[in-house]
Amino acid sequence: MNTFLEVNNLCKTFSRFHLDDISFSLPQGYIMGFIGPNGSGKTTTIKLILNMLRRDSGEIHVMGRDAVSDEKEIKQDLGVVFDTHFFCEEWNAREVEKAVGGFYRNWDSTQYNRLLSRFHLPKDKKVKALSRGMQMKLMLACALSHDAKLLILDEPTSGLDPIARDELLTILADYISDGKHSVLFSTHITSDLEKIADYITFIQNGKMIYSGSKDELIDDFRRVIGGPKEITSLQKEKIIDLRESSTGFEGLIKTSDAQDFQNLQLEPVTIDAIMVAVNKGGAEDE
Amino acid sequence: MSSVISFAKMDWLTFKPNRKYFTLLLLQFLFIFAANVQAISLCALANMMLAGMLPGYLFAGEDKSKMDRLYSALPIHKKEVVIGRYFGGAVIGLGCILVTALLLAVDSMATSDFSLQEVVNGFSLLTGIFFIMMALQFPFLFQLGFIKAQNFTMLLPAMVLLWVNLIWRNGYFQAMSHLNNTIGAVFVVSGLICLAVSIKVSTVIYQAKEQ
Repeated sequence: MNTFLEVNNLCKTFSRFHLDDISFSLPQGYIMGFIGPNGSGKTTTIKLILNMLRRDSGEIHVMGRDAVSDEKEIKQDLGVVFDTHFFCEEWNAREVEKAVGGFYRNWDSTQYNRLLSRFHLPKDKKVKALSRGMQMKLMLACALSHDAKLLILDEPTSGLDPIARDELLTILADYISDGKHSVLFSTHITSDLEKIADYITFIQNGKMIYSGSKDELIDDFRRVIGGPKEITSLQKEKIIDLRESSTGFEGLIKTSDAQDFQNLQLEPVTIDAIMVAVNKGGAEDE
Repeated sequence: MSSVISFAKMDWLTFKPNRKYFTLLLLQFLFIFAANVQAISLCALANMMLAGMLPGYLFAGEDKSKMDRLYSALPIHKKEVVIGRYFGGAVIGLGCILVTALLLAVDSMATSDFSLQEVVNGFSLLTGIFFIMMALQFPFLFQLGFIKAQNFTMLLPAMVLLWVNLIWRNGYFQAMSHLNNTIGAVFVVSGLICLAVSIKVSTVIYQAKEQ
């Protein structure tokens, strides 16, 4: 299995933030969700991958090539979508192609026009007049028109309505369906990832919490629910993010502790619930 | 090299929406100076000011739309971004100077104040002055961005033209008739040397800059 993106021991220090020893790898043909609360270091990591920031230490390899020394070559195979558009506001879709197309060896004008039609993007409307969802699709159309092998998306769904988000997920599912492309998808809206991600990398306060299969992450935890007097003090100690009310309690437990909760109702968890629980400090050791 | 050309082309597309505004401004100058016997010469002088200001607007468009993120996504080296920006700025500024030279040529035909040789010489002189202005402005614009650097960099064209005026106290355009044939070439060469140094400085600044 080819590794499309490999980040090893990446560190970067700012005056008030420290990205500490981030490592993960994304194989060819898969989607990796890059999650963490706001300010956790997701965008910093992506900026480091794109060489917008200089790393203090660590290594980044994209399709086997060093992200710094082979930057220009790597970016021929890289598509990038940010949370807000990065085109001149006065351009329309035609001018976007004129401006961007010349940089890529494999720019496919027919494909670009096909994508504009598929995404219902008007060719003559200025970028500033497009809705947020349309602007995101325009960035995506550019990224997909030069045969990018790896797509890096930085919070592309923030500020989008559920329909636009669902459309994006469908596009991404199509994109990786041939097994030759990969996607790194940074977001804090984890419900998007439940649908399409194969791998999850979870960072918080600049530190790695988890990197691996999404299913394994979800399987590692269970949601436990019970009545007000059903829980023992021993069980309480093992619950992460315990919430008690007059009608009962709920919380997260590690699946390895499930045998201690056989008298209670156990349910599968969402990535969102894991993120919230970890954020409250219950599972840093994970 | 193709990346530099592509970048300069992208810069032109960024600048293009401003064309109407600056053309109207030039027409306003003609209207304002219409009552003066030296209307065209004055308009040419004002246009020279514009030539010094316009390349800065490439940075304004970039700042407004946060296009540095686009550059970081494109397959282009930072050095090529810098050279492309100088190239784009030079094309826009030289376009403006060409308009200035045309105005002076029209003026010379109308008033016989200047010979064609003097107009060509004047065009070379203005080009050299423009290169020096750009060489002084761009490192600041790369370091600080348009919003922070604009007041200072917009003053530079005025200061350089004031300096030219101070050298020839009789006035800038009158002075041209006294120029010998080589002064324009000297200014162009000096401007090109300044640009080369400026590109080097801007490259160091831009490469060290984190976005």
